[in-house]
Amino acid sequence: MSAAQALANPLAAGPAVPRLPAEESRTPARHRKRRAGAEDWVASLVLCGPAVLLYGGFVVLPAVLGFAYSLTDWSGWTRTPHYIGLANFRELAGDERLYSALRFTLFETVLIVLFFTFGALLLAVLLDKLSCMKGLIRGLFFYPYVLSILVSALLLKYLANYNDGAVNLALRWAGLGRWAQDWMMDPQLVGYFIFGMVAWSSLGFFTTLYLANLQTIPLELYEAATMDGAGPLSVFRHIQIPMLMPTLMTNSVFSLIFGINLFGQIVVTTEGGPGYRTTTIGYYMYWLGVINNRQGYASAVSLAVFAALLAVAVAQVALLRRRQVEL
Amino acid sequence: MWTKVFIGVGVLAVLGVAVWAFRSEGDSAAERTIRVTRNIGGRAGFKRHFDAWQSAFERKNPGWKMELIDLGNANGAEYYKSRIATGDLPDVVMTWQLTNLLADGGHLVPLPDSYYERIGIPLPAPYKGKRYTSQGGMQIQGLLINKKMWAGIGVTEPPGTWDELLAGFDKLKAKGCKPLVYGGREWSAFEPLFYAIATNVYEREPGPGKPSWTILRNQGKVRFAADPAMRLVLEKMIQLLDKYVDKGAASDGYNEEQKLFYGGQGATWMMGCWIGGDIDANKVDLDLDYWPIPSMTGKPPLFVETSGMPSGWAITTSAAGPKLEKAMSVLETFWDPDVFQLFLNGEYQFNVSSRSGVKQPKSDWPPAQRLADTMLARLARYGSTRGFHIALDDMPPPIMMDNTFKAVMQEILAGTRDVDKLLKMLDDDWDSGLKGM
Amino acid sequence: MMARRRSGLPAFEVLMLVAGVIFVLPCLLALLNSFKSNTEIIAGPLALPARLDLGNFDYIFRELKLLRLMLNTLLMCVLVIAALVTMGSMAAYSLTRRRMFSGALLRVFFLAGLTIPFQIIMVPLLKEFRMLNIQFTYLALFLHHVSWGLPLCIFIYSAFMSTIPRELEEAAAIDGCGQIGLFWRIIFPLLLPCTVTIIIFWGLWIWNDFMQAFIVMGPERGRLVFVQLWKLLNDQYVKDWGHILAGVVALSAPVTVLYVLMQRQFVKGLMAGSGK
Repeated sequence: MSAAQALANPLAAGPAVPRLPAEESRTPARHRKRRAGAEDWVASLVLCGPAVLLYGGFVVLPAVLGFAYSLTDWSGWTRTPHYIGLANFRELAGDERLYSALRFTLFETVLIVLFFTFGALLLAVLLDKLSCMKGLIRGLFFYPYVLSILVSALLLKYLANYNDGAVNLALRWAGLGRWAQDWMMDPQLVGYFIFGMVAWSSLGFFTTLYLANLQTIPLELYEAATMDGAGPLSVFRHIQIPMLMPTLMTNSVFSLIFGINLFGQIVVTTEGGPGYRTTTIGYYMYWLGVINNRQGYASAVSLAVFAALLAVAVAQVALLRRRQVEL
Repeated sequence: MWTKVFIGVGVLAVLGVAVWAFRSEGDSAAERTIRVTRNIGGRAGFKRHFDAWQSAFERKNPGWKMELIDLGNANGAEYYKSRIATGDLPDVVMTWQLTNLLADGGHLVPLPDSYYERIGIPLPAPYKGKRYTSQGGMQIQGLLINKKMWAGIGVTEPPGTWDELLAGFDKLKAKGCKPLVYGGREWSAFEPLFYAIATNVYEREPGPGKPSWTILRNQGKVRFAADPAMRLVLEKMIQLLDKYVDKGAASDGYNEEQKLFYGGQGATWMMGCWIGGDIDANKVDLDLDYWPIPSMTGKPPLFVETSGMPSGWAITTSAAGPKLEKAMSVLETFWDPDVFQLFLNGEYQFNVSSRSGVKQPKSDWPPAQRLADTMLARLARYGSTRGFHIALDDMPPPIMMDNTFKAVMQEILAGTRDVDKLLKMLDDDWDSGLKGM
Repeated sequence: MMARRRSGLPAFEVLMLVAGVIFVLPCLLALLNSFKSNTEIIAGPLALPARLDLGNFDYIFRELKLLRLMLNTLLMCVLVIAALVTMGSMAAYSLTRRRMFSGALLRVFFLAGLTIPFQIIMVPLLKEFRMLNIQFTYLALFLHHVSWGLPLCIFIYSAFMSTIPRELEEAAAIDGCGQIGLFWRIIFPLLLPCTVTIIIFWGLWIWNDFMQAFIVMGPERGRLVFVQLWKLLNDQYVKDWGHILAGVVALSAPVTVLYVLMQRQFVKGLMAGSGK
C-alpha cells in the first residue's frame, strides 16, 4: 500500500480489521442496508462544528491569506506588497535549488518512512513481548522523544564534532582513531546524520503508537494461535501485522509528513549545509522567506508543494472510492 | 459516568480558557516607557552599558522608563517581522543589516541632520534622501594574532602581501603550530572570503567617478563568473583551506575557534575587533596583536570597516507623539561620556564623534587594554576601507554575507574544487537576493 | 498483551535493557554533565563529575523561575489537550462512522491541514489575533495550538476508529441512543488507548514547543518553559552548557514520569476494550 493511499485510507469509511469467522455472515447484509432518513444535522453540527470553526478560522483562513502572498514580490517586511501575477511560479519552475531540495527531501523521506513504519513496528513487537521491567525499558526507548527535537539535535551535533565530540573521543580512547569521522559535516555522511537525528529523537513516538495498537489485539486471538501450535514468527505474520494495519498506515503518513516538513533540526545543526546540500523543502522555504527576505516567493514554493501533496491525496481518495464501489 | 467526567472536564476547560483569556504577563505600562532592543546575549559588558544608559536616561527624563528588549543572539529579523505584523515594533531598534528593509516598509522615523551635527558624527550616507540610524562607534575587522607564536618564527610586523602571510603559515606549520583557527560550521566560516573580497575585489575608496563593484554588478557590467579578481580570490581560498585547515574543521564553529585560540593553540584568528570585549570578559591571558588584512592584488594591507554603512539604532514609527521626543533623548543620552565609554568597552569599538571626549575601549584586564591600544595604533598606521559596506542603496544583497559566503567556504571544505561552480553559487544567490530587496 | 512465562534468567529482557541504555547514551551524557560547571564540561565532556554539583539546577530554578514556567506550561497543556481530545474525537467519529453530506469535503479539508507549513500562516495569524484584540495572550496561543493540532488529532482518531466494531453502534442505535450520547457512552471509552496516546503526544508537543510560543507570545511575555530556555540555548557567543543541560534534564523529568505512569493506562485501556 503506497504512502499516498494510506493518506486517504484511514479517513475512508469502514473498518479495516479482519473479521473473526463468526461475524462474517452477518455484516455484509447489514452494510448493504441503507440508513433510513437523512443525516442528523444537529448531531453533525455538534460533533464537527467546533473543530471546523476553530480549524477553519485559525489555520485555513491565515493559510489562504498566506498563500495569496505568492502572487506578490513581498519581502515579508513592507506593509503593501506588489502584485506580480504568476512571475514567482515561472521562477520556481526553473529553480535548480528547489529541485535539489526536492531530491534531498525525497532521500530523507524515504529513509524516514521506511524506518518509522517498519523499524518502529519491529521494536514495538519486541517491547510488547517483555514480561518484566516493561515500564523501564519502554521508557528508555521513549526518552529521546521527551527531549525537544531542538535539544536533541543540539546534543547530537556536539557529539558528532570531529575534534571534541564524544563519539570520536571514545573511538580514539579505544584505539580506533582511524574510524573517527566528521559525522555531521562530511558530505558523504551528512544525509545519514540528519536521518539519524530524526530517527533517534522520534523513534519513541512511532513505537508507542504501535504499542497502543498492539494492546487492542484481543487475547483470544493469541490463545487460539498457541492452541493451533503457531510459533512466534507465525503469530507475528498472521495476527500482529494484520491487526497493526491501522497504525501502519498512520505511521507511514506521519513519517511522510515528518520527512517533508523536516526543517527544525536542520536549522540548529547544518543550517542547510555543507554548502546547500542538506537543504530540504522546508528549510528552503525558511531560507527564502526568513534569510533571503523573499516571503512572496517562499509562499509560492509552499503553495506548489502543498498543492502537489493535496493532489496526490485527492487522487488516491478518488481511486479508492472507485475500487470500493466496484467491490 | 464517563459523560459526567467529560462534562466536568469540558466546563473546567471553558473556565480555564476564560481565566487565561486576557491575561498576558508583563504587560508594560506602555504610556511612559521607551522600548529599546539590544542583543545582550549574556554579555556582561553589554549589560553594564545598557544599565548605565538606562539610568542616565531615566535621570534626565523623570517619570519615564527605558525598557530593554533583549534579543540575545536570536534572529532579530523574525522578531521584528512579527512585531510589525502585530503593530508594536519597539520604539528604538538596533537595525543591523535590516535598515533598508525597515525603511522601505515605512517603519523608521528619519533623523534630522542637526542630530548628527550636535553629536559631531559624520553624516551617514542618505537612503532615498533620508538618514535613519545612529551608529555607535567604528568597528574594524582584521587578524587577531598570538604574538608569541608568530615571534617564534621571527615575525613581529604584519605581512605585506597575502603570499607572505601564507609563507608565515608554512613556517608555523613546520614548527608544529596551528597557523589558523577556523571552523566551517557557523557564521564565522565566511570571514576569510569576506576579507578577501572586501580588500581585493572592491574599490577601496568608491566615489562618483569610481562606482563600487556592487553598482557595477547591479548594472550587469560585472559578474562573479567573469571577474578575474573573484576567480583569484576563490583560488586562494581553496589553497588556504586545503593547506592550513585540518580535517574536521567543517564541524567546528565559533565556540571551537574561540577555545583553540584562547587556549594558545592557534596563531591567527580572522575575527572582528569586538573580540576585545570577549578577551576582557574571559580574562584571556595572551599577548595579542591585531594586524591588517594583506592583499592578494599588490595593494597595501589595511583593515575593513564594517560600521561605515548606516546601521545602528533607529527610531521607529511606534514612537509617536510625546514618545518621539523621548526616543530622541534615548539616542542622545547614548553619547554621554560615561555611557559611551561603557559602550566602547563592551563592543571594543573606537570613537567617531568629535564632541565626545572618549577615544577607545578601556579595560581593567591588562592584555585586553594592550590589545585596545594596539588596535588603535595599527588602525592609525594602516587605515581601513569600507569594503562593500558603503551605503544602504550600495550594498550586496544581505544574503551574501549572511549565508552565501559561508556556503561557498563549506563547499570548498566538502571537496569542491570547481571554481566555476562556486562562482555560479555567488552569482545565483546575488540574483535571487536582489529580488528580495 | 501476551503473557509469557520464562524460566531462568530473563535473557531477552536483559538484552533489551542493554539496547535501551545504549539508545539513551547521549542523554546519559547530558545528565552526567548537568552536574558539572561549564568549564568542567568543556574540559572533559566524558569524565565523571568531580562532585555532584547542583549549582546549575539552582541557577535555572532561581534565575529562570523554572517552577512558575512549568506550572504555566502545564496548564496550557491540560487545556489544549482537553479541547483536542473532545473536539478531535467527536469530529473523527462523525467523519468516519456517520453519513454526512459534507463528509468527503470535510475529510479533504482536514487532510489539507497536515501539509501546511507554519511560516505561511504566521504573519496573517498574528494580524488576525490583533484584529480580535487578543494578541500576545495565552488565549491566542491556546487557540493556535488547538486549531493547529486538530487535523492530526482527527487523523489519529480516525485511524483508530476502525478498531471499533460497527455492531456496537448498531446495537446502541436499536436501544434508542441519541447519536451524541452514543458517541460519549460507547465509542469514546473504547478510544482510550488512542486518547492516552494523544495526551502523551500533545502534552509533549506543547511542553517542548518553543517556536510557536515565541512567535505568538514573544519572549517578554511568553512565560513558558522552552521559550525561556531558548534564550540560553540560542546564544552564539556565550553558551553555558551546565545551565542548558540542567534545564533540559529538569524539564524532561516530569514528562518522563508521566509517560511511565501512563503505561498503566494502556493495561486499563485493554481491559475496557476487551470487556465487550
